[in-house]
Amino acid sequence: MISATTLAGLIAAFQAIVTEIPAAIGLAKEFKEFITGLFQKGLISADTQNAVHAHVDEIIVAVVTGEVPPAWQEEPDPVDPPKPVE
Amino acid sequence: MKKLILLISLLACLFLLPACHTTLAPGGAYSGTNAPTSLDYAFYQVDAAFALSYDACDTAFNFERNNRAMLWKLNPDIKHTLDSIRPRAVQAAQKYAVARAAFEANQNQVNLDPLVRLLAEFQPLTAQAQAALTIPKP
Repeated sequence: MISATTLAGLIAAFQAIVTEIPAAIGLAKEFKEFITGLFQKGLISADTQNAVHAHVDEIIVAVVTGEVPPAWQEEPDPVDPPKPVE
Repeated sequence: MKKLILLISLLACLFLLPACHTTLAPGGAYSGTNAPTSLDYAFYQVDAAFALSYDACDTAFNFERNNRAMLWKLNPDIKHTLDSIRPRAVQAAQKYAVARAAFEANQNQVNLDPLVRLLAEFQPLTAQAQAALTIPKP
């Protein structure tokens, strides 16, 4: 029998995975393009080059201007909720 | 730890793989003027690898932040480990930005070497960030 806490944990984990799917797909696509670029014979198109350059420029501009994304900042630890008194 | 070493080795191998006769099409952001050089291609490879590594690191950080409550309950070391990586990743990205600006201002091998070195500094941080998400429940 699954306890309510375990079930809630499983649901939270499932929701977390579902929420991150678009980001994971984007990353997987980028990884695939990178790998393909390594093995593919031929030309890397101007469009691909421009896309990579623009993306890195975007990152660099944010870094240089001191813009640190929230997820890249250290934040205080969450406060554990008080344990219920039995 | 073995997985981490394997991942770092894989990333290093990917970067060190010779370009399989791949060249840059003229007119692109990396292909210089009319005749793209091997330096242009190396710069493209370093930049593409950096973008990939940065995005993978960003995904790990965001995943932890978006699901902090759940992961904190699972193991507080996940957040603590990522917190130790966060400032180092920011610093590494800043150093890469400076080196990239120097390379773009004066494209030569001497200015490309720091980019390669800084990429090699950044990639292990990404691997550590990804690995931190799999820290088991104590």
